[in-house]
Amino acid sequence: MTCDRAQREFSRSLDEDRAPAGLLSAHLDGCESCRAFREVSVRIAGGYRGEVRRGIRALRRLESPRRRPRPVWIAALLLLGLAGGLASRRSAPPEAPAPLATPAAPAAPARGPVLLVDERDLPLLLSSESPPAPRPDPEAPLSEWMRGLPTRLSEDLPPPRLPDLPRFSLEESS
Amino acid sequence: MCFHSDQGADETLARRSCRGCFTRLYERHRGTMARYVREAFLSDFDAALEIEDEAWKKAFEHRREYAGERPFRAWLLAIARNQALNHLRHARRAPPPPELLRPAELPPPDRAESLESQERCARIVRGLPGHLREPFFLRVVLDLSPGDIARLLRLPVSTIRGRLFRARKAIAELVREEARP
Repeated sequence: MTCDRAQREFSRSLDEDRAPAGLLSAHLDGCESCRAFREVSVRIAGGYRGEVRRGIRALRRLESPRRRPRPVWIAALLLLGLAGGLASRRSAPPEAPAPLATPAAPAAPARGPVLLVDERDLPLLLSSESPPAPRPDPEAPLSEWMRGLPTRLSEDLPPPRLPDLPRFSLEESS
Repeated sequence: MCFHSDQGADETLARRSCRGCFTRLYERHRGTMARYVREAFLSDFDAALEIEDEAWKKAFEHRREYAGERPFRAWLLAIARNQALNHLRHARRAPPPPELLRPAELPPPDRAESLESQERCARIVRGLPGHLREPFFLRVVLDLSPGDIARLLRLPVSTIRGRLFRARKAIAELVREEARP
């Protein structure tokens, strides 16, 4: 088996995720040039993969804004709390007369609906509009502009505010 | 809202075509296309991010056309590749904007680095010509099979295997050259 053929076969075995066959393996073990080829191929591929994947992870960290609770969910939870409070008030059993021998316990305050937020914030929470975010510097790089973008693809989100980069359509470019 | 399980394979989620499942696919794969464009076309990183953004929009619009006959990631990369080529064509016709497709500045080789140094490995691979670098990236980083790469690049599988072999030969040669005093 020639070195060129052995290296070609080894490359093919890497592409097909299989171990080199017996004859090829023997050649790779015995030939210094082919051994170096095998070592470099595996090491450089591993290092390159690690470097690129590290870059992808860094990009995801850069692009991951903290998820904010959506106003719709807050409003739903609030309504649920109101409904639960009203139901518990209606279904409360009538108070039994206290036995005369025991001292009278202090009366517990009547339970009403529990509001988790300030009532003054209700119009804001119940509206679907979120307060406008501060705009970044127009000269800032694109990554700065994309920092506030959410990770979810929802149609109800405002369109991304991008700087004035040159735009073109598919028709123009074809 | 999506009540589907988010544990399925990419292809299962993609075939459902619902918004929630697509959001999960986005969370799994975001950043991959930008990195592919950056590595395959040596583009500026901001331009690569913009291309990825456009590619996700296109993928979302055409999500019902994905039939599952090939890996979802290969389908996504095909969209990103078309977007990148459109950018390249535009850049050739129009005066190139400074931030678009600027060749990556390769740092000078540092002889003190070890072979395992990831930056050095990436620098060596980025020294390959584009027609060898792109299939090498798709095979080594994204684990696409030669068949999937061939479909993506619209080339015969034998050509892809040949290019992968020549990429490895060229890498071995570059490493040998760097090792020379």
